[in-house]
Amino acid sequence: MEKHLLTIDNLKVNFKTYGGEVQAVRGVSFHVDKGETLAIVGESGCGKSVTAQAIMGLIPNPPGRIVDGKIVFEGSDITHLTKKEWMQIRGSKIGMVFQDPMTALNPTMKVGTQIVEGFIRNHQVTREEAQKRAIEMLRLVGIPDPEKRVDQYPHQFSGGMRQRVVIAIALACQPQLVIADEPTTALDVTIQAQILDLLRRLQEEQELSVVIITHDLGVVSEIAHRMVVMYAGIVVETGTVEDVFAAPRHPYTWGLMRSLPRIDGEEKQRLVPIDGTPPDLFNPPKGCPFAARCDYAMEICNQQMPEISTFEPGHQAACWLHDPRAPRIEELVAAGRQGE
Amino acid sequence: MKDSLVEVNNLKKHFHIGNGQLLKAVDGVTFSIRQGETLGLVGESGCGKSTLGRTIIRLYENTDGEVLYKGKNVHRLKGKEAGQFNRDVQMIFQDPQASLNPRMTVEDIIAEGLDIHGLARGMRRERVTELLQLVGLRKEHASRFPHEFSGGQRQRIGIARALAVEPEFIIADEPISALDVSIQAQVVNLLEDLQAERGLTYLFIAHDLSMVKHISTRIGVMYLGKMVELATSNELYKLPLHPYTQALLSSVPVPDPTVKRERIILQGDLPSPANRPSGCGFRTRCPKATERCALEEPVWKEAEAGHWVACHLYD
Ligand SMILES: Nc1ncnc2c1ncn2[C@@H]1O[C@H](COP(=O)(O)OP(=O)(O)O)[C@@H](O)[C@H]1O
Ligand SMILES: Nc1ncnc2c1ncn2[C@@H]1O[C@H](COP(=O)(O)OP(=O)(O)O)[C@@H](O)[C@H]1O
Ligand code: SF4
Ligand SMILES: [Mg+2]
Ligand SMILES: [Mg+2]
Repeated sequence: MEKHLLTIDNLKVNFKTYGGEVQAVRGVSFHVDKGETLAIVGESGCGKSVTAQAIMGLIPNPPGRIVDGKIVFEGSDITHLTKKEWMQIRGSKIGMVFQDPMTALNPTMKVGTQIVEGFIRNHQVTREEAQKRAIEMLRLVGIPDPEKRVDQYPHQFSGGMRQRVVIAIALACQPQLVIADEPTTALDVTIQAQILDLLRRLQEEQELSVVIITHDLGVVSEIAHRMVVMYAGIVVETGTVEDVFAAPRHPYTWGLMRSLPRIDGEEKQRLVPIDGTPPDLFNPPKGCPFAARCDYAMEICNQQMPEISTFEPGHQAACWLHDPRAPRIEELVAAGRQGE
Repeated sequence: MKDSLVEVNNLKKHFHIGNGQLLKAVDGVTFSIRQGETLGLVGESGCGKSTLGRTIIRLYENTDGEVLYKGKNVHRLKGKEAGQFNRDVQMIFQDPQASLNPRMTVEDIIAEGLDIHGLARGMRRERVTELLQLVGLRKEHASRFPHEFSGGQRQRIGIARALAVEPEFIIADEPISALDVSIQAQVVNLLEDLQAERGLTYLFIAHDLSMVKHISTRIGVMYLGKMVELATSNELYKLPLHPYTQALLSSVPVPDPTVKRERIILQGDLPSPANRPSGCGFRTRCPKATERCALEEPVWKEAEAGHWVACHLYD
């Protein structure tokens, strides 16, 4: 187990609010190996960002709290570190890229200074060396004219260029792991293509590990090696991107894939939406959280959290359909039709 | 064109943005929308899609050119005719949260148009119930407020509001962009069903090209305030002519790891519409640009039957 770069084990995170306690993450487990890109997908509110925040020690406390589970990075438990210990990890081992580059950038500071801030803190370097490093980083992330750009401020950059700057900041300390939370969601497709291309190139060249959070299965298929599908605070399916796309095992994953139109498809087909909406996390159902929207739900689904079944190595799904005692899917579909 | 419901001729909408500067948000666009079709409109943010939609529906005065609705210049309509246009043409917005008054009940939101146009007197409640059911909501929802609904449900309320006055033509400005994929499909199916039942005509503005392809009969591609290509949805995806369309389509990530596509990665960013390059607006990022592209603006022409493009490569 300890050979993984990052291991998340049964992570649970709650937030206290006026409405009660939100169980944002309800027992999430996965791992990231050295040099791989892992994608986390799922619809808004399912706990993707909170999971990322936990890995980076950024759960706002209060109102948030890690109530259970363990986060192990490079063999050491980082679940409950002090602020100072986190600063060290974030500045040197884990880099972060967020959806909105403006929130990650300081508008009153030159981008060059922001890029090398963490690097200076951790290395003994002169001003000139720092400036040189900042220029190098800007060039690495594909910003034209880096010698001039290094002394400019964030507002002088376009959205796509700002996101490159944020990536430069994330990489400046040569981290082993970069966590990118919807890094291209706010960008246009042609700019998204540039950023994904950049992330893929950096990941390969620098043997980085990347955790990319997205709601776009297209992005997953373009950039990730493995994927984790989340729903209502739990992992419902995980596996290599090839395995999950070729033979998805969870009804929610089926639903996600069927609800997408294909740009390269010839015939127009009616989309198949997933009816209904995700459950309320103040008071999550005790059984499978997808049961209320699932075409195949059985009695047990409403009563008990599904156990995890394993298919190909590393391909797992949490669904009662795969229990040996469950009826075959065809039978359930037929039964469902009769009931209509 | 005989069967066209809307004709847009050399339409321009310029904004004064201070210091005597002019921002040409829409700058000479010509196309028509046929009765009963869905015309998709795509292009990167800031290319003028919303401004075009808002000028067509008269939310903005036009700077130049004209919009004909059933042959009549919409910016000249007065009195009764203007009132009828305001009924016939409705808009659905991207952010259902922002476009619904949080202090009004769903019933009052949906019935607002009915009240304004003096429709359904004495039948208000029944009409609202009917509309709610039509968009997949329930009668009980009428007395609730927008914040009590999910994003997808709020978009349904926006659609019910637009449908209340029995429009013929709906301009949907990014109606699904703020929704989750599984919910997007719900709303798109609803729009398709309503079109089939009521013969509605749509102008569907979006930046998700897969969804636009799915829903549209024809698609127009905009870049920096101009339309650069227009064709049937299948033709545009199979045989895009404009280098920008080619790059845009190749940028869309395909949710299938077995497909490996040749990508055209465009260099650089979108220039500001306040500072348009000379000649062809796309030439600063175009992989196929020649000297001529900087000197001359390409004209909008029909390269093949029904397939329009503005690019020097097709002269
Ligand atoms: N700071 C916070 N305070 C209260 N609730 C929060 C906070 N951050 C996240 N949540 C809740 O946790 C759940 C998961 O959120 P998040 O991880 O942001 O979802 P997503 O998958 O869209 O990134 C949501 O219900 C959200 O409302
Ligand atoms: N009311 C306005 N005043 C000034 N500029 C505007 C206004 N509305 C839009 N613009 C500008 O016009 C251009 C086109 O905007 P818009 O039509 O919203 O593009 P899109 O919908 O394609 O993203 C942008 O540069 C935008 O900043
Ligand atoms: S456990 Fe039951 S309800 Fe949940 S996805 Fe599987 S079949 Fe559907
Ligand atoms: Mg998030
Ligand atoms: Mg817009």
